[in-house]
Amino acid sequence: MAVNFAKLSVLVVEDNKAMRDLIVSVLDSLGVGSIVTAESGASGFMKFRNSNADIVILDWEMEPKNGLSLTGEIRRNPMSPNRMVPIIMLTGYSAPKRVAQARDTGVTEFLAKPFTAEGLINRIAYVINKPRDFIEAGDFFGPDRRRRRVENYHGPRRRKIDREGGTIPVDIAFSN
Amino acid sequence: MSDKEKKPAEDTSNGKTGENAEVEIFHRINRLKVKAGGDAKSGPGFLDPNAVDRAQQRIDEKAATYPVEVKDVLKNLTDSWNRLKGDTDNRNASELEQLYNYANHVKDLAATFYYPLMQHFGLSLREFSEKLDLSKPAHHTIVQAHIDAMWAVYFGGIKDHGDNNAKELKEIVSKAIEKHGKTD
Repeated sequence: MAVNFAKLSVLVVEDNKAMRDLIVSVLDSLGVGSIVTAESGASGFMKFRNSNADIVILDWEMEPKNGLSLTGEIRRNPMSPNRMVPIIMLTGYSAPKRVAQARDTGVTEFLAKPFTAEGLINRIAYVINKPRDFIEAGDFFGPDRRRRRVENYHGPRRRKIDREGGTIPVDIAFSN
Repeated sequence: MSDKEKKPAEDTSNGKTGENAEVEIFHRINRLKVKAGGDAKSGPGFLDPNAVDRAQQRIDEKAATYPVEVKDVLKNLTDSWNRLKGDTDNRNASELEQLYNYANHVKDLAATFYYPLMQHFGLSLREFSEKLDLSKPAHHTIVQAHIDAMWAVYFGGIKDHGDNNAKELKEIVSKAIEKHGKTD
């Protein structure tokens, strides 16, 4: 089946107008049905509440509220209409420390600028085709940070399934 | 199964972190995939093979707007710097943040549309902005050297590092950093 973007809505939060226009243009070429834009994290959360977008694409550095803070708000604010919405962070910072920081805040996918159409489309296709489980652990709420099964893992086994050794007890559907 | 979020079976709001934190896993029906015309349980949906080409074409077309877009950002960057110059007490943190963001914007635009020399100066200024101390006249010289170089690149229509003008500009800025950066 071919991915049909017509019924999807995407929120683009980017303070640089030229970059924002560029992302919108790429989404438009894909036939995304609804594209909502915001210029900062502050207006981004309002727009997200109003639009309940299916996918959020955001920049890191923005004023008055940056992309990381917006991610935290989407994931943890009780007013958030969908705490599990896929969030793609598109940014000029690609250092591993930054990627880890974004991941630990709840970003789903990370794409470094300069981006190509293929890079952005692949990230969008990935969040549609391969949604990750969500994890709640202490202060963290976000997509599962384990992308692969490590056979010789020796760290602490904190997951309920690890402790109970059975099937995963929570099996709940969430609207995307 | 419900579409609504249910509370986890265990209360995980006990503030535990690290090794003692309990972990709750939430599995979901892939409604996004269904919305995109697929079946939640079937294999991955494929993209129209022409979609990437079409999208890349849009990006390439946008490259024509680069001179206008980057000029706007350079103006904003220069204005921001002019406002900051007098702030020798480093009190205007938000303006400093603006300068950093504009340098970052120049870098992003230049990188996206393949203007490596402008990208170089944008990145260099962004990095220098992180340690900028406005009480030091030497730091003013370094920022000004970046901004002058960026305008020279813009008006000279210089795209990459190759030609002599590019080399000269890079040398001017790196010498400014070398000479005045040592006054820390």
